[in-house]
Amino acid sequence: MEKFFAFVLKEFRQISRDRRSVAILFILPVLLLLLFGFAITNEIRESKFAVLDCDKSALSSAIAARIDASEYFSLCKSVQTKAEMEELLARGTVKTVVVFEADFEKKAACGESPQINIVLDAVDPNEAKNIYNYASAIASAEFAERFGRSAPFHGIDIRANMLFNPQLKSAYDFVPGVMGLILFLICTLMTSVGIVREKEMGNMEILLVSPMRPVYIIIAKVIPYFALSVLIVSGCLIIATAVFGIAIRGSVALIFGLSMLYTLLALTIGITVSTFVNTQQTAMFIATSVFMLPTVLLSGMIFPIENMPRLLQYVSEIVPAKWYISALRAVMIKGCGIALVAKNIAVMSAMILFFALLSLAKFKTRLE
Amino acid sequence: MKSSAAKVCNLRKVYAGNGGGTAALDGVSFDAEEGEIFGLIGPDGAGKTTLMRIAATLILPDSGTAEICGFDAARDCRRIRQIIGYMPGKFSLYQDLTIEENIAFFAKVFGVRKEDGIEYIEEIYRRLEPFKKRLAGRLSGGMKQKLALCCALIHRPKLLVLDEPTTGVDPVSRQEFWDILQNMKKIGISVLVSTPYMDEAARCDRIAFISSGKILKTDSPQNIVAAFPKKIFRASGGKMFELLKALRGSGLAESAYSFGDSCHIVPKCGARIEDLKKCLQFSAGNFSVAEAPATLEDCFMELNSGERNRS
Repeated sequence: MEKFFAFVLKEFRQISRDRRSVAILFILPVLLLLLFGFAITNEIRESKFAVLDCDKSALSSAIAARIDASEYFSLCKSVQTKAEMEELLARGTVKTVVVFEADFEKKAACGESPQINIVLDAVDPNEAKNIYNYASAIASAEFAERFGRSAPFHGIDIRANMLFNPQLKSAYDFVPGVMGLILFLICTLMTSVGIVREKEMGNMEILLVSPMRPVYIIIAKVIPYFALSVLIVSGCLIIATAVFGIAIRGSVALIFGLSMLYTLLALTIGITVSTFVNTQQTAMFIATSVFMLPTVLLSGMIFPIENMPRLLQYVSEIVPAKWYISALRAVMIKGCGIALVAKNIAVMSAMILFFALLSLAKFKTRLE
Repeated sequence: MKSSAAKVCNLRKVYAGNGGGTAALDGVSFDAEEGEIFGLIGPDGAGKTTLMRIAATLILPDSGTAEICGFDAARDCRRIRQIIGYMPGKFSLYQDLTIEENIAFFAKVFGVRKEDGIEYIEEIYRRLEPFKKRLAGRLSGGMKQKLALCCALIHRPKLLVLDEPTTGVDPVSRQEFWDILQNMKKIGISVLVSTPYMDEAARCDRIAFISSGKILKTDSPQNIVAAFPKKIFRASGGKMFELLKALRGSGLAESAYSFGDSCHIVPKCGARIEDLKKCLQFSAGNFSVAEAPATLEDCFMELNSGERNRS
């Protein structure tokens, strides 16, 4: 046991001395989270809009005021004519003009469907769609408060398909994704490279000719990364709540439990990679190309799995991150309990078992 | 009769490679006795490292047996790993740990208290102590090698397996290193060491010449030199290239090898030193030629060319 701790201590020392990996371990998660949070964002914030109010009633101005009051929009100008409106859009002064028809309040009072026309600058279609969704959600909320019913606008149904994230806050989407990516990166890449480095530097040659059992060498090797993963999960959760204002709905203990399970899976994959290759370069190549790319592309982190071709959907089933990310989303954002993620837990456990057995079968107690 | 520290019998090892592979070891047998320094002498690619790794239980031979301190290297590798100290040819400690940390780590791994271990390796450790906070990767070749020896010795092994321990080490450190090995022998540690240097071979108790995976001869350095069957003439002082050219033309020499600034000549049967002097004076200028005692290198060259002619 003492031997074991000596090894773990040595491992921590080496990691702390290797500035590059420390940088990767601590800066990368923060960087990625902030990058996704602020730079690569399609969120709407203080988007400028104009109003063309042909009704000039209490109701229309109340709705306009409410849109203006939200954090997503700010009212730039009230225009009087269509020509004025078109000029503003053409210049790009505003992205949105909200148009109320002449008999807006009257129609509403009679129970007819009044019309709001949201005219959008659709150069960026995604953004335009988002703006449309936000604005109509706010308008219909105001309308519903006054008349007790949800009204259709402009013949387009406003569906409640954004149940858990009505404002399409992207943080809800990317935080579990980034965690899935980071944990996988650190555990698979760092352990496989770390173990292979011992082979490449010849350390393994001496360690094998020692009373220490090779299995302990491997376990001791991964413990520091396991510990670091706990820190990283905590860090990500803190950033998610403090910086992005995500409310964690589910149990924090379950989130940690899932993360530990996933970390373990990534570690066993890292060990498996290390038993197959002999140079750090190959290890890095395999960890990034064979395991990282599918994690980014097929886990549902960036591209929704439902939109993929059928074949890729099947492939995504064997991407470990898919199971973690979907479980984390369910627990963190929808507040699901353990029963709803039982399948994910089972799949991840099975994967751990598979890779553990595979690496045990491949592990050598000699040099070749 | 003394018992064996390392006894190998008819070892064969072929590395699979392009075109069927070549035999790294081709029926190697020797018996290194307990308490002696047994040297494995041969050029690069002779199979030394393969042999050392088999002795250290790191690889398995294709056929043949290796018995280390009475244990079978294939079956009892765990027992053997507790009683041998192994130093690979390449520096294999942690370059990003300090001297002190490396020693502490290996003491723990071998289940020894660090203090006990250091007491045991005191003589070597004393020379490293002033640098104990330095990272192993920043040490000179000689210090790296001493540190590696410290770590290999820390658990008081019965047998030290050293694979080319002095390659890339300065001459002074090499001297020191062999002094240390002599002291190890005094406290009862057997040493199995490989080296390409003939001057180091002379410091072993017994040596085995190895070339192309075959043992050419096993004996004490003194006996090997004494058994050299031919005369040796040593020529020096002049241009080596012209000397060799002249010798080749003369038909007097069976073989001629340059050793630094002189040349060792094995004369053909019946050729006298006078003939040689005359010939060289004619064609190559101012050489002094004298009869010289055979060196281990002469013996190796002779045995090696004999082996090559036979095959």
